[in-house]
Amino acid sequence: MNRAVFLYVGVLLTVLLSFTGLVSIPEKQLGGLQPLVDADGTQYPVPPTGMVAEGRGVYIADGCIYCHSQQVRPEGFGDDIERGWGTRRTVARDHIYDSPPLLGTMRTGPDLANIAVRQPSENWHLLHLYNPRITSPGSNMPAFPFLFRKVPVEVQVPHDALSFPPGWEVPGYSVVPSRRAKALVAYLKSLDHSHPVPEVPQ
Amino acid sequence: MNDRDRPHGRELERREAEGPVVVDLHEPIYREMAEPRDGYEPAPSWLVFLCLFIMGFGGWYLGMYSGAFSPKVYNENPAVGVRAAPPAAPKEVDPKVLGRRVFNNCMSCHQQNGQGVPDNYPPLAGSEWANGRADVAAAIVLHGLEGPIEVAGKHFNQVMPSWKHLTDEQLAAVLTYVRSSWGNSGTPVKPALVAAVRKSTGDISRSLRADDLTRLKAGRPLGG
Amino acid sequence: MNAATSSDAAPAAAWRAEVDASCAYPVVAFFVSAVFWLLFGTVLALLASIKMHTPGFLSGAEWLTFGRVRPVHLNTMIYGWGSMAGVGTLLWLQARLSRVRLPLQLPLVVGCALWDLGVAGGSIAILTGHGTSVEWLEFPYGWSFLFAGIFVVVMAASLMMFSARRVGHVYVSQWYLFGAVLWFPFLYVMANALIHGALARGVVQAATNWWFAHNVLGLWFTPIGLATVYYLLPKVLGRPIHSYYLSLLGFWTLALFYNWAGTHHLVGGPLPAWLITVGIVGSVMMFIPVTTVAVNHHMTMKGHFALLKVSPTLRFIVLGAMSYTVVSFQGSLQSLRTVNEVTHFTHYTIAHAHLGVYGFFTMVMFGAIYYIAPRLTGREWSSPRLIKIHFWGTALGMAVYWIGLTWGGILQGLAMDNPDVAFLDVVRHTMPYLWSRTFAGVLMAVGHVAFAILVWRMFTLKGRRLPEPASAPVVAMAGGAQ
Repeated sequence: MNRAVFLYVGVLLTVLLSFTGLVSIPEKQLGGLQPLVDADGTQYPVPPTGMVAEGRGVYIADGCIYCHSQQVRPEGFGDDIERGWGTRRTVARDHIYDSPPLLGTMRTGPDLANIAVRQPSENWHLLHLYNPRITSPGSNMPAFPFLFRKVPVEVQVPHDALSFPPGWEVPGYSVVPSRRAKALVAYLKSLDHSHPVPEVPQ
Repeated sequence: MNDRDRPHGRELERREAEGPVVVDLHEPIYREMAEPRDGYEPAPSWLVFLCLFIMGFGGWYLGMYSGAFSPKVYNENPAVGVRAAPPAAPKEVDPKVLGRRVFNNCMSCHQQNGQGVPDNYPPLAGSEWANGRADVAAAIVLHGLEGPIEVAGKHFNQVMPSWKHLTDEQLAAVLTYVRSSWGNSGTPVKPALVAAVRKSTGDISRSLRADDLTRLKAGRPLGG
Repeated sequence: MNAATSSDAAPAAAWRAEVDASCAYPVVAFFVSAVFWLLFGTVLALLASIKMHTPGFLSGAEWLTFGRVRPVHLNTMIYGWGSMAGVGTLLWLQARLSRVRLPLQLPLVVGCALWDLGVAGGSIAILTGHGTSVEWLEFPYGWSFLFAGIFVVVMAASLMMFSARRVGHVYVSQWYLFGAVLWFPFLYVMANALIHGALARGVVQAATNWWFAHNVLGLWFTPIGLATVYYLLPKVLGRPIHSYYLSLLGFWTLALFYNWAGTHHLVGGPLPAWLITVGIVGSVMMFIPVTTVAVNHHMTMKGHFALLKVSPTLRFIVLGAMSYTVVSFQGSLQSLRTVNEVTHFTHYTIAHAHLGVYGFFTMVMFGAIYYIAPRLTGREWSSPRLIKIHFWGTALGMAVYWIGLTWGGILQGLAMDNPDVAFLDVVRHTMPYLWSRTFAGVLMAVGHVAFAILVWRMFTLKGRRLPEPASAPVVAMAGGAQ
């Protein structure tokens, strides 16, 4: 193989082939997917806005994706559905407004595709973010104390201060979630992929 | 220098122990071998067969599981119509095992040991609601609960989601599991009972509150 | 033993010395930068590993949270250590194989400096919360323009040497280098535009992401690594590569199949069945190039394994080549749906990734630097003991790492696929394996420090001076060299 032209053409052709197959054709097939609109006019999915979009930014900035996936595998493949991580597998349509989609590749922690369905309690999320060991003994998730402010109790006890179980209090202080903590929880409380889709027969 | 002259075995160890053997070896740094050349041995025939086999497998796999390259086909199996889809009926699971399994959903608040999180999420162990009337307990898991409530002498004020997307069997199993674990002594719950409560409270589309539970206990209808 | 005949020995030594001298500044710059990033990435790796089993460790500061430290580790290792060591090696190999002086020396040195600034800036961006959470592309969009610009210089230098080559026969290493310098810039630019530039939508971004990320290994590190092995193996042994036909088959099947493998990272994910199936088929087809290359290397090496004892270069590249075979077979198998069902989302995948980037590529780069650096500086490596510590630290570290997390990952996957095991119990089961990783990390770190000391002494010219090339008899000691 001493002709450079073979190399040029071959090398470029192979990579263009895979680009076509794994990127161009999928974009042609899936790039035009539209949201579903129910009889009562509700749309699924909806683009993230306001606090949800802000919280998505916190999720990205603090790298939640490195331990949490957001995808439900199909029935009979793994036990995602039996474990309660979703009622159906997730499909391309679930992610049309996600740029980038935060599918994840690790489950050091549980899947979050439907965390809003199984955990609607803002209080739980805040306690868990402040220190995961409060709600989940044995968890190896990092704590996010920097998403909270400490306010000396003698000033006043703010209405949104965390209520710690005995033994977890910070003596002399109230712990108050920052806007970023609240945004992150708003985002988590928006993660609901239980809406039926035509791609997955019921 | 051929193999005989190169130090090895005990001789090498001795020289290593003494020190800079690698330095010795690097000394002739510029006395390197000629630039690499190609040999022209033929490819072994087993390798050729292996290649053909792998290519055959690849082609078969592609044909079998590519779902006709449709963007709408997500399940690789029935798509080709060769293999039947897995049976649609849910797998039969021992209700005890099933109950424990469904309880995975409850652990983050009520904890694996049913003790809840003090001052935040109520315990199920020793709870009058968990051990009390089965239809009230069923209504709680079906519709969820929010607002102030007293459990085992303590006050709680939190949110519990609705679990109505789970089946009657799953809910009956988890209720039975809760009512028979951690020293609890509630009666087992049958799927039929969950179905009946699901039907009788079907027009509720919000979380229950403490006063709803009082009404249910008294057998009165719930407001919408 | 066959070596250069004595008649062409002196001229050969002379042109080699000339080529090596032309490479000195850019290649040293790339190597020194690479080793710096190796150390930096190692610190982050240890931090991240410790945080996995002791989440309270340094958890008070947001910039040190796991979700930021981990991507900085990955990006400094990929774009700092791996790519910079790879570019240094690539430039030297291409110059040697084309028998021409390295062109664009100044732009390359400047490019190297900018590259360092880029990796430093990108790392700071991630640590301060500007990472993108797109795996392998965490540096913000703006960074891609800088790196793409530098890649163009590298590509130009490589292609200029190739077209000015003074050898009629194009050796197999050059095919791979040729592929690498054309493939990677294309991948990098397209992936950035489609994902960060949002030209693709939704899950197509995910497909693009893994098309790119898998190809960083497949079409960038692997070709550079294989080119290095193809060059250094016959070079150190003084034997021809076993079979040109196998080289040919191995190269073209790799080019054809490797770049399809990416979507196996999304098995079970929200993509149509065919897209996943194509990725699996691409992965399984990798059996062909991998077996071919393994046979080719093994047959070349056959009968000369005793040399492993005396040549550090050979030790590292043979270990690397063996890891390549293992990691690729493993990759083909774990792409299959049945296996992937268990291993996906677990530490098994992490062990696999490290066997590829570390066990294979990094080991080969170590071997390459051991061979190339003395030729650039005219100095010896200063301490055989440190070379030993480096080899055994990294080799044992990799072994512990791989065994611990592979086994731990399988147990984790089986437990996670069993709904009767509570999730927090899955976490508890993995703890001993996470500790084993930190232990492995310490071993590797010791090796890296030894290596860094060696490299530092090498480039500050602390080693013993080498004999002058022209006066050296080419044949006499050739068998033992390196």
